[in-house]
Amino acid sequence: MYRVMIIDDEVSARRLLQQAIDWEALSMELAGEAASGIEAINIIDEVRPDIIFVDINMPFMNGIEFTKLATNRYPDLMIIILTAYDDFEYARQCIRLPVVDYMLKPFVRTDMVELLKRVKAHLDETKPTKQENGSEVTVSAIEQIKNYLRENYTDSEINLTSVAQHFGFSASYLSRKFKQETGKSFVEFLMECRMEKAVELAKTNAKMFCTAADVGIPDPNYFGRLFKKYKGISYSEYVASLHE
Amino acid sequence: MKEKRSLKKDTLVLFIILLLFFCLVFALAAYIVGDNASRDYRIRTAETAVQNVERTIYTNLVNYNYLTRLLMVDESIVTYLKADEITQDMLYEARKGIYSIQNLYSYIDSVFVFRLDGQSASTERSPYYIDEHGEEYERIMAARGSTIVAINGNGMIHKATGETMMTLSRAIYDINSQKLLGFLIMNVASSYFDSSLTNEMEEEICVVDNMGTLLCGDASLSELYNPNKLPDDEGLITNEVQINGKNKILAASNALEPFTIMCASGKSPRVLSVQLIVALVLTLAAFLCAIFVWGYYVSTNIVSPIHKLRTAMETTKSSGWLSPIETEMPGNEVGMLAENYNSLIEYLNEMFARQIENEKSIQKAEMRVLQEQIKPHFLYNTLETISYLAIEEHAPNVHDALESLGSFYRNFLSKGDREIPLRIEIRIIQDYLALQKLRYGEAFDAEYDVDPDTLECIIPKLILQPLVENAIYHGVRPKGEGEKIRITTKREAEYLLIQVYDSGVGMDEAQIQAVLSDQSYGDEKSFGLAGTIHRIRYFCNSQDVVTIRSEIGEYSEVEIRIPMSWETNEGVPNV
Repeated sequence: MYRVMIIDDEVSARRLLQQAIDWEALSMELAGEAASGIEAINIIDEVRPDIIFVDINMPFMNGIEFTKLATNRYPDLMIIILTAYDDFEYARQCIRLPVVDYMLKPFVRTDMVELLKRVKAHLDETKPTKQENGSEVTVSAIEQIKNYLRENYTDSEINLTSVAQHFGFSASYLSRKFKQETGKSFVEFLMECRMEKAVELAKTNAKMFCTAADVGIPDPNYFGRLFKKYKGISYSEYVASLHE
Repeated sequence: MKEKRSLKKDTLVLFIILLLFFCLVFALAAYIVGDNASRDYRIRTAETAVQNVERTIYTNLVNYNYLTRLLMVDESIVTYLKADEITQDMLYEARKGIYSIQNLYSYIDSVFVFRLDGQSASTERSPYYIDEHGEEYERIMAARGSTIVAINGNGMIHKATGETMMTLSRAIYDINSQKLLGFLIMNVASSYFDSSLTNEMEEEICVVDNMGTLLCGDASLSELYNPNKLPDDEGLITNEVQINGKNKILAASNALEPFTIMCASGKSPRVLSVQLIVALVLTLAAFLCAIFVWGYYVSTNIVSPIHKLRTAMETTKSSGWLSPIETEMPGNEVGMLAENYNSLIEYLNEMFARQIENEKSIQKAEMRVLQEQIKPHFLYNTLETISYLAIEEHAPNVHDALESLGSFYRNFLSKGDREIPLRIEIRIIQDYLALQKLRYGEAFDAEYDVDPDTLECIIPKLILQPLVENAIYHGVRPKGEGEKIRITTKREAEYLLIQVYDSGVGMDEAQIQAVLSDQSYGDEKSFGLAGTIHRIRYFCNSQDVVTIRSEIGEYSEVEIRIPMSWETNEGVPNV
């Protein structure tokens, strides 16, 4: 089973793709979805997709930017760009992205199935049994990483894989060790760093989109959801409650 | 209309004229030089002849004069002259003395020795008439012993035979007392002159006396004697004269009184001098060489290139294409002319290309404006949203319809391209028919018989859709139910064959002709079909690409043959 992730800011587009295709028959499963490139960067290490559908036209981080970032960090990833524009062919030639295909919206199911079969064949051929290598993660290394995260969480492109690559560890090994040592997952820890800062900024009466950008989550929708999950109430409610 | 002239021909004619001109000038020059040379030669020969004769006569006269001196001092003669009384013996002795001296030299006809009393001793053998007291006698006496040369003693003496004589006369004085003793006359036969001329027989020559009397030589020449045309002081004079119609040089001298020697020379130098001829021939050869070299140069560097240039331009003109001249040209002005012509052609071609490019980009821009107005991506995104709603509401047929609609519009617009692969056109028709089937589901079924080889052929966009649309609205719909629409594509030898068949009501001959005639193009009613046929013809650049077959009430079939080269399996169109 190959893991599929869909990144599109329109929920209807994500649902359509989810339901129109018989994924089971292609031995694929939908492993996750994201409403923006920013959200995708944050959760991609948990979703661990083999194939990503990404809409080209999204706010904060468009499909092209995301594709550049993702192909850099995950060289084996198959990325399919979804676009309503016919001229994508030109764009692709300009940016010269490897292992990328594209599908015009609205897609025709037969075309889509054909494309997915092609992608699957490619994956069958190239995907090696993943070998994890990298140096051993020590306790002091975990401390170093925690400090690194506290200093760099404002970087919106930071995530497990980028940090693991930075320190020379394998991402999944780091993820396991991190949880083991700190009791929290890497993503949870990074989120807490950002939310603590967000709470501080909320006290200065900062606007949500400013706070969101300042803590490294420039997509305010995604930030809003995270904040509500963290504090139990929305950011605006929280700011309002501080002034009562 | 101005007569067209060929530079090549003109040059050839000019070349020949020049050649003739040079030959003429050469001949003239040769004549002038030759004429001068022959004139000089004649003068020289005539003068030489005159001088030679003159010298001979002079030498002889000196000799004759010497004889007269011998006679004067001869003892027997002196005795005869001095004697008061003449005896027969004395006369005899005197004659003997005269004879002995006379015989020292030839041609002396006779000698007369006169005493003062009129008696004479002579050696005459034929009769003479002598007038011994005339003017001549006075002249002899006046000369006081000097010799006087005259013809016939200036009329004093005549030979009875009429033969002309040269006479040397002088008075005789006594050597001791210087007393006048008498005088003598020596007659020299004129045949003596003939002997002096023998060496000069090649020329016409004559000797006359100061009266114009011919002494010897050519009689006709003596008639030209003109005392007024003689040199003033004893010398030579030359004149050009005509004798017997021939130009000759007449030389005359009267240096020897009383004779005038005349000589006419009409002789040409045997040949012009060898050097002169060689020089002239060499000059002519050099001229000819120069003309040939010049002609060759002009021919290869100017005339031929210009001819080639003209031919090449002519070819370009008749071909109707603005192709540059590829003929090799020399590096001179003619070559530059060709280069300039080529760059002009290039400039024109560039200009046309730019014009075409402009035209294309304007059309593209217009298409883009049209597309912008349709805002396709808004349409596509909306279609997708509605598709999701259809799935949510469990309406798969709505989803199918939306999918066809989206696909149809995407291919229908095709980024504004005017030519697309047949594959896309088929797709348009499939989507179009799928959508039309939603409306007229009962009316027809669609069949496709598509040759996979033909799928990548490039055809003008939307040539089949109007045919299919026509098949639906004017073919199968009026008929009713269960009809058939069939799209067939085939790869033929040099064509891409496309057939749109419908089992509809068909068309009559008049309708077919109306559709096929270009006149109906623009007629709003049949715009779809006729307009499409017009576009196909325009694309293929041929009238003969669309055929319509039909039978009223049975079927109609539109057949398109698009010329295609099948060099590759891709089916690259070659129109």
